Amino acid sequence: MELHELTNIWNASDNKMESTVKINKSLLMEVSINRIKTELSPIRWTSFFEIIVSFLFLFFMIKFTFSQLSEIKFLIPGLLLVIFSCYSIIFSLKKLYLLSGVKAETPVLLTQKKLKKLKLMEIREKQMLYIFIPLFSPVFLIVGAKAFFNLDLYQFINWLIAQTAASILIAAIIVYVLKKFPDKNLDRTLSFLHEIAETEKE
Amino acid sequence: MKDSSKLGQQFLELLENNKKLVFKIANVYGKNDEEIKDLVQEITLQLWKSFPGFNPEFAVSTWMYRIALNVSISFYRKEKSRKKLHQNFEQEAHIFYWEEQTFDEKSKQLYHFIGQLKAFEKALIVLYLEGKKNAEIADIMGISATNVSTKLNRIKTKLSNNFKANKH
Repeated sequence: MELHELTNIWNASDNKMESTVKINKSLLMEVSINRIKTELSPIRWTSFFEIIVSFLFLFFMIKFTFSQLSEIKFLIPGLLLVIFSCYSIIFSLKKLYLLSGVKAETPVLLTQKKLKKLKLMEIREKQMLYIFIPLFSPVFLIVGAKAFFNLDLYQFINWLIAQTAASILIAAIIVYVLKKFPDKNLDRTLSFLHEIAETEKE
Repeated sequence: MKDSSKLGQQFLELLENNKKLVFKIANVYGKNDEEIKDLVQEITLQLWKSFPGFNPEFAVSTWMYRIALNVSISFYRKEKSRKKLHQNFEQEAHIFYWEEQTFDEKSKQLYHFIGQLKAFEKALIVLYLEGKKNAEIADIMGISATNVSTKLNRIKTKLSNNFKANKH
């Protein structure tokens, strides 16, 4: 089959479409675009919510850390959680920045690359949380008990050691499971990013 | 600020003049009737959403192709989201409707073979078949014109081979 034949076939159906494809105008006029959220929506409100919550948590942690400057056993967990919330804020801001650049009317490869990078970030964030939550649970417990109940969990050192050992074990199991059974979405996203890179290559 | 009904009227006119573009891209990316309907719907909505920000200094076709292709390539939706889309838009499920005889056998075959290509290959060949010059395709896609030319040659060979193989 020659190229002009492909074009001829394409044009033949094109001519027919003029009369066979119709738009339901009255229905279209009723459509409210605000009722739908597509993947190409410029703003994702959950990102703003995430940032606000992370900032509130950061302020709380800074306040707590400053109040424990003389007590190193609370100062270190406090600092760890300050770092944790800073990381979370930077991550969310980066996501929001990337999201603000996603526009349906920008060149196709650019938009798709941004969308897939965003997807990749979301998957990685989810995986990090799976690991961080158990790993940081003793730290959260120490800070939470002190901040809300003025309770020193170091009094129950054996329980705390057991708790820490269990959380490390759980985090290790999660890492193993994530490696053994990779996320299909992650694979798809990575392979699509590879396809984008291939298309960009001359 | 533009009057909303006037804007709606302008959009309707634009869509009427370019309905074939939306329909063809949806047919290339959609795997079945349901997906094609969803895609037509989603492209239309995204066009409508972006319409107030459209800069008339730029070519309408470039703007429309970019949106239609971006929506179609992103159409890797989860079943759940698609069901939600149907629930939200049950009454608007047929913004576009078309007659059975829109495609003859050869056209169906061509769309079928294009459908088997990779996401960006589909976009490139559709733009080529639509008669776009390499520079314009490059602008829509965001790659260089030389790259467009190289890629198109490979895709055209692939398509021709598929047709030949199908004949034998």
